[in-house]
Amino acid sequence: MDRLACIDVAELPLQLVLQRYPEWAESPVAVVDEDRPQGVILWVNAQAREFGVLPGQRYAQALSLARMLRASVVPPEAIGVAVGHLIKRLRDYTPCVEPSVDEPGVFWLDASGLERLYPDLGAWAEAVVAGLAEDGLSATVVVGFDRFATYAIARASGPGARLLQTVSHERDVALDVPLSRIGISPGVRDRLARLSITTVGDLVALPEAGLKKRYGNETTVLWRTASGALSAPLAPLQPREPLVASVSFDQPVRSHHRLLFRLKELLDTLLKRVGERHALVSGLRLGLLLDCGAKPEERVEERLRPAAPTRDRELLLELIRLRFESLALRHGASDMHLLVEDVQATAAQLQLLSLGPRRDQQAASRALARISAELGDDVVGRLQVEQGHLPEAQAAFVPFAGELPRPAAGELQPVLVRRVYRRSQPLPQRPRCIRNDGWQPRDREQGPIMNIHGPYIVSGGWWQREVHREYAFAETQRGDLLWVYYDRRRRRWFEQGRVE
Amino acid sequence: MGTSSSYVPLWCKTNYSFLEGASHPDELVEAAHIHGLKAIAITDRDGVYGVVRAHVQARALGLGLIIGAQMTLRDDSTVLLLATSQTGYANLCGLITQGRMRCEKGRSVVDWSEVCEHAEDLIALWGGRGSALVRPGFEAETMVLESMTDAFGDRLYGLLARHRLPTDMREEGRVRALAERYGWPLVAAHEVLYHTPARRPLQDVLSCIRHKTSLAAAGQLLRPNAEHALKTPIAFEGLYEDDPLAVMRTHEIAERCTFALDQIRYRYPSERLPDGSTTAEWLTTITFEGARQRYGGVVPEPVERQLKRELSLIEELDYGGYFLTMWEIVQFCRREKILCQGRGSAANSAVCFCLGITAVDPVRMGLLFERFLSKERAEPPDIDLDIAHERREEVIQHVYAKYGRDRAAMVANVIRYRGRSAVRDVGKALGLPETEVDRLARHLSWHDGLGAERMREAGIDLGRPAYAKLLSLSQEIIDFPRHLGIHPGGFLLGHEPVSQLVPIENATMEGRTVIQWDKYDVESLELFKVDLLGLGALTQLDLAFDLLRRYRGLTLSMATIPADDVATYDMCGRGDTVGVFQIESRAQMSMLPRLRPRCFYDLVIEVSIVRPGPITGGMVHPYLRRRNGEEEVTYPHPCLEPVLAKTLGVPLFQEQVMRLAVVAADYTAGEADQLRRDMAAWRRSGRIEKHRHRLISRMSAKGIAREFAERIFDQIRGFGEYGFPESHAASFALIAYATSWLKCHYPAEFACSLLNAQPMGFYTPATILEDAKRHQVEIRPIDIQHSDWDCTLERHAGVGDRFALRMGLRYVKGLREDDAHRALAARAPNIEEFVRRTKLSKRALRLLVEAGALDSFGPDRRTLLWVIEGLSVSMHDSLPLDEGNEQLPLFVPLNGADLIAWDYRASHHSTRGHPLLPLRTALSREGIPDAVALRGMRHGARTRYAGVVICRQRPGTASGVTFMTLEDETGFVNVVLWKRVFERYATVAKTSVFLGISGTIQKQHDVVHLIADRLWVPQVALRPHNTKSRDFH
Repeated sequence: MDRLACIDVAELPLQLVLQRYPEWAESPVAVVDEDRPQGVILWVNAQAREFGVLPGQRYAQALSLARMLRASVVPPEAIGVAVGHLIKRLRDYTPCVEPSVDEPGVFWLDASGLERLYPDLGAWAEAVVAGLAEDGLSATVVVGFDRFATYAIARASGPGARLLQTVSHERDVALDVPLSRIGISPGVRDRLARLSITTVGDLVALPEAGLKKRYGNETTVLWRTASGALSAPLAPLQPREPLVASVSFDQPVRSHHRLLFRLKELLDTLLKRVGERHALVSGLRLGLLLDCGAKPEERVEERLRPAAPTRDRELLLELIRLRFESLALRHGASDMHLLVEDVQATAAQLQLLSLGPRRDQQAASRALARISAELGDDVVGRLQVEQGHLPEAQAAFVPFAGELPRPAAGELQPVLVRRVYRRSQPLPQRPRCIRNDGWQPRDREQGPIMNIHGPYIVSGGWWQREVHREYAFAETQRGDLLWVYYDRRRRRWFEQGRVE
Repeated sequence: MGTSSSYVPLWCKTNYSFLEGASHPDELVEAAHIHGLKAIAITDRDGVYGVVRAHVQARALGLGLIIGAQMTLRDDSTVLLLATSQTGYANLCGLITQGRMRCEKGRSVVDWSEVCEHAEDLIALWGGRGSALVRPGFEAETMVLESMTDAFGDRLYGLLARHRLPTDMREEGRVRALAERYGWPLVAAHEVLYHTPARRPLQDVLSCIRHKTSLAAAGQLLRPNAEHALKTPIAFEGLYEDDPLAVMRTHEIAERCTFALDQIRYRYPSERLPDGSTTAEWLTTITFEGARQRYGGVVPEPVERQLKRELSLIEELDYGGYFLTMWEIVQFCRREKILCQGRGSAANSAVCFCLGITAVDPVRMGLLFERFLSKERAEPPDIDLDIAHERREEVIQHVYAKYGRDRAAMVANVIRYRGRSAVRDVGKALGLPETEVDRLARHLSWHDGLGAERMREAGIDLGRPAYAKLLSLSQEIIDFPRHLGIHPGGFLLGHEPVSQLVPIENATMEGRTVIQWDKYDVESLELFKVDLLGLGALTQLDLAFDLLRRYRGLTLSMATIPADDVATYDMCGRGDTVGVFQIESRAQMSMLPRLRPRCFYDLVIEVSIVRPGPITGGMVHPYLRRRNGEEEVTYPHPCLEPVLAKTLGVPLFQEQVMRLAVVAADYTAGEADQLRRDMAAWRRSGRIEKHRHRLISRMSAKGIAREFAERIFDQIRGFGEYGFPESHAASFALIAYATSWLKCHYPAEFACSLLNAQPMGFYTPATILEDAKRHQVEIRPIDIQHSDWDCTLERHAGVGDRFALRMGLRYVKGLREDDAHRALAARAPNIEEFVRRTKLSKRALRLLVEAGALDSFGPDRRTLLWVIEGLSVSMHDSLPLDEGNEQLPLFVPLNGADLIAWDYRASHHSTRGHPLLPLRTALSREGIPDAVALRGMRHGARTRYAGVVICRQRPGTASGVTFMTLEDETGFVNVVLWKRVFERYATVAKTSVFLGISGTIQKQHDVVHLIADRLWVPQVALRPHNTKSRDFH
C-alpha cells in the first residue's frame, strides 16, 4: 500500500511571528487577521490555548481570557513566501509535495519507496523534522496511509516524527483527534462542542444527512473525508519550469549583430513556449558570460520590461536591440541565455493581441519603455503630490507605472518658478559679524547674500526624527533669489532651491 | 510699546475646542498672567464650553477675560466673535445655539446672514487661517462683505494672523486689501492652541485623534510648526514689529469688551399661579396645606415656627419659583404613580418636607436648615430628586414639555480622558499596534492611574521610544475633554430662553438637548439646577409594592411600612443585608454586627459611618466603643452636649461640625457654611487652616481647654472629603429601612423585585439568588411554559402564603425582548410547534435551549439543540414540519455540573446550584471548609479556603489593603489582603475567578475575616464557570 506523510509545520504564521519576536516565546501569542481589538484570531500557540484562547475569537474577547496575550498580523504574502520556501525545502526529501490550500504549513508528501534511501520511513521522517529544525521551524511528520488520518494525527501530535504501521491503528488514532485541532470553522466547532461532539470519532458517528442539514456542505465534506467516504489522491505541485533558452559559442562573440541574431532564435523558441502556456511576457532577463582570457569570466545580467505584458516579437526584439546598443562589451561572450518572465494573460490582454497597433497613450508608454530599455529602469519616474510640510515631502518621484499623466486643461503657468533641488545643498556658514566679502552662497559668481526674507518655520516629526527648519528667501548681489533654510538641529544653512 | 502688557491675545482656543486646543482654560489664563498680560480672550470652536473655568481662574488672578467663539460658517470658513456686553454675549449664545441645533452632535454651521442678525454688541475679527477672506476670489463676494460691514460697523476688524508660514504674507495681503476697501481697522492676533510650546506634540496627537489618523499619515492635517503657543509680549511685538498699530488695537478691543460672566442676570422661571397669587403666597398656601396633611391636621408649633422662618428666607432670596418647580415635578410623579424622593441637603428643609419633596421630618430630627439655605451664602438651594430609574425619562420629558425646549435644557457632562481611553487614542495616533495598545489599556484600572510600572506589567518595553512617548503623552492628555456627554439628570431652567445664557446643542440621545456647561460650571456661576436622578432602589420598591398588591392583596407604600420593626433590625444586626439599599456592601456588612442598629436613627448612623470622613477622622472606633459601653461618653465642654449628644460625643455629620462651630466658636450660620465648603476643599486648597486659629481662639475664649479645641479641629479636618450630611443620610436610611423590612418579611417579593430592577446595587443576580435560597425562597428555573419576561412569583402548592420565585426570560443572556414575547405568546405543546409558531431565529432558539427555557419540550438540552438546528432550517417550508422520521443521535447527557455551567453561561445564574456545589466533595477531600464551617472557626485558627470571587475592593482609606469577598454554596467569606500579600500574588489576585486562600481567622463581634498570607489556584478536576465579580469600583 502506498505510503503518505503529512507534515504540519504547526501554526506556520505563528512560528513566523515568533521568529520575528523571539522574546514572545514564553507568552501566549496569537496571529490575528488585522491589527485591531476586533481582529479575528487565526492561530494561537499552546500557551494561549491553555487560557482558552481559540481561533475564531476576537482579540478583545481573547484578551479577557489571557491578559498577556500578544498578537501580530502576518500578511498573506509573507505566508506565501514561507510556504514556497518550505516546498523547495521538502523537495529535498521527496519530489512529490502537495501543500494544503486551506492551511498554510500543512503538506502531504509521497513517502512510497523512500525506505530504500533511508534505513526506514521513521528515519526519513526524522530527517525531515531535523531539516526543518535547521530553518528554525518546528514540525510534526506523520507517516501513514490516508490523507485525512495523517493530517488529523499530525495536527494533534507534538513536534517530531511518527510512523503508523497499520491502517487500522491509523484510523483509531485519528478518531480520537479533537475537532479543535483540525481545520473546522470555529463557529461549527463551538456548536458541535455544545453537543459534546469534540473528536473526529464523535463527528463521524453523527448521521451524514442530519449533519448536512444543520451544518452545511463544509462540515459534510469533513465528515465524508474523516469517515473515509471521500478520499483524494495526492496532487503534488509540479515545479514550474523556467522559460529559459541558451546558446554557447565555440569562439567568444563580441559582435552585437551576431549576438542579436542568435537572440532572435532564442526568443522565438521561448515565445512559442509562452504561447503554449497562454501567457504573456512581462520581462526578459538576458545573461552573457564573457570570456576574459586568463582572467576569470565575467557575467553580464540585464533585465528588460515591456510597457505591458505582450507576445509582440518585434517589440521585444526592439527593446533587446536598444539595450544591446547601450552595452559596451569589453570581451566576447562565450555563453548567452535568455529567460522569460511570464504572466497569465487576461481576457482583455488576449483580445488586444488580435488588434493592430493604435496611436494612443499606450504608444507613449511603449516609448517610455524603450527609454527604460535603453537607459535603465531608474530613468523614468513620475512626480506624485504628497501631503507633507517639508518641501521634499510635498512631492515624490515614484516609478513610472505605464500611465502617462494627463495635464489639466487651462492650468495657469506661474510667473515665478521655484526650482527645488532633489537634495538640499549645504551653504557656507553665515558669518556672525559682517565681513567685507559678506555671506557667500555656493556659487561665488552670484555675489554675497544681501537680503534675507523670512523666517518661515517648518518643524515637526518629533515622533520619529525631529526637524526644525527656518526657511527664507535670500537675495544675492547679482539678483539671484535663493531658497535657503537654517536647520536648527544640524545648526547650519542649506540651499533648498532657487526662484526663477 | 514695549511694556510688559503690550498686547491682548484675542484668538485662544482651549482644550474645550475638543481635540484641537492643547491647554486647559486655567492654564492659558495663568500663562497670560505670568506673561504680564492684562486680559485674554477665549474663543473656542463653536462654543463657550471652557469660559467658566477660565472666568474662575481669571477672577482669582485679577485678569480680564474676553468671551468669544470661533464660528464655523456654512462655507466651512471661520470668523471670530467677541462679546462686548451681556447683549452681545446673549447674541453669541443664540448664534451658537442656532448653529448647533441644526447639526448632529459635535458639529455646527451658521450662515452669514445669521452672523449679521446677531451682530449687536459683538466684535468680529475676520481673517487668518480658515477665514473666507484669505481665499482667492472672495473679494468678489461683495454681498457678504457689505453685509458684514453694515452689520458690525466699527466693530468689524481685519485680523492679521501670523504663524511664520510662507502663506502668511499672501493671505495678509488679501485681508489688508479688503480692509482698505471697506474701511476696517486691522488687529494683530495669532491662533493660540497651547500655553507653552511643550504642548505642541500633544496638539499634534489631538489633531490625529480628531481626524482619525496617525502621525505618520496625517501630513498637512498637522500644524506645520510650533507657532501656536501663547507668546510673550516681546515675542508678539517682534512678530508684528512692522505694524505696531495692529498690536495696539488689541488693547482697544479689550477695553470695548466689558462683559464678564458675573454680570449674568439669571431669573428662575415663574410659575403661572392661580387667582393672581404671588409666588410667595402660593408657596405658603401649599406648604401649610402639606403640613396639615403631614401632621394629621394640626401643625405643631415648632414646625409652624420653622416653616415661617424658612418661607420668609425663601421670599427674601426670591427662590419661591424653584420650590414651586420641584413641588410641581413631585406632583407630576404622584399623579403618574412614579416613586420619587428628595435627597441631599433638601431634607434639612421643613418646607421641602411639607411639599412632599422629601420624606424626612427635619424638625423632629433636629436637622439644620442653614445647611440647605442661608442668607449669608445667598446661593441657590440644591434639591436632588431621586426617581424610580425605569420611569425617569417620563419625568424628563414632562419638564421639557412644561418649560419648552428653549427654557429647559439638560446640564452637560464633559467626558474626559482617563487612563484607558488616553492610551487607546494616543496609541492609535502614534501608529502603535492596536492589539498591543488594547492589551495595555486592559491592564489599567480606574484607580491605578497610568505609570511606568503599569506599562511594564503589561509587557510594554519602555526602552522603545514610541512607548515612552505613549506614556508621557497619555499622562498629559488625562483629564482633557474628549467630548460632551449628558448629565444623568441635571436641568437648567430659565425664565428667559436658556440659550441666551449658554448655548444649547443636541445630545446623542434622541429627544434630549444639552447646554455647553457641566454641573461644576453651573455651580460656579450659582445658577439653579434641578437634578432628576434615577435610583434603582425606588424602582425596586415600586415593583415590590406591586407584587405585594398583586399576590397578597397588601397595599403598602414607603409611608405605611411598619416602623421600628424588631425583626428587621435583628436581621440588619446580623449583617444579613444582601440587596438592601446602602447597607449591603462588604464594609457595611462588617460594620452592622458591631453597630447592631435598633432604631431608625441607628440606620442613619450606619449609612454615614462607613464613609471616608469618619474612618480617616478616627471617629468610628470611639463611637463604637461608646455605643458598646466600653468607653465613657464625654464632651469637651458642656455647651457641646446638645450638639453631640445623639452621636455620643463624636461628630459624625457635617451638620454637627457646623453646629459645633456655631455653639463653641460663635460662628454665624454663614461662617459655618463656609466651614463646610472649606472642609470639602481642604485637601486641594488648604483653606481649612484659616479656620484653625479662629476656631481654637474662640473656643479658648469660651473656656474650652485648648487641647480639646485642638482635638475638635483635628476631627473637623478629618471630615476632609466626607460627603454625607445627616439629612442626606436620613433620606437614604428611609429607603434602606424599607428595603430591609421587605427582605425580612417578604424575601420572595424582595428578591423578585430586585431581580426585575436590575441592573442596580452591589451584587450580581447569581449572588442575589443564592442569598434568596438561603432565606428559604424556592427558585424555579426559566421555563417557556411558566415564565414571563420578568421574574414572577408562583404560589406553593398547598401552602397559602408562601411563594416561589420563577426566573424570567429577561435573564436569558442575549435574548431580545421582542423575541421573548414571541416565544411567550406561542405556548406551544411541543418543540416542532414552538419553532413553527414563533419563527424565531436560530440564534434565539439556541439561547433559549442553552438557558434551559425549553427543557420541558425534550429529553435534554443537547438533543434539543440538535432538533432546533434542524427545525430552524425547515421552519419556513410551506409543508408542516416533520422531523419525526429523522433518527436522533444519542448525545452524552449533561450532568449536574454541566447543567450549572450551562446555566451560568447562558443566563449568568443557576437555580440548580452554586458553581462550587459539584466541587464540594473534591474540596472536602482536600480539607477545604465551606463558608459556614469557616465562620465557626475560632479566632486565630489557620485554614485554607476556596471560593468564587464576587468582589474586590481597595478603598483609598485602607492604606493599600485589599478586601475580597468570596462565595460558595453556603455563603460569603470576607478576605483581607495586606499590601505585601497582594503585591506578591497580584496576578492571581486580580485575575482568578476561582481562588484559594491560606490564612488566619480573625473574629471580632461575630465578624469573621480571613487574613490571607498565600493565594493559590485550586487544583481540582472541574473548574466553575467564569462568574462576574465587582472589581475595584
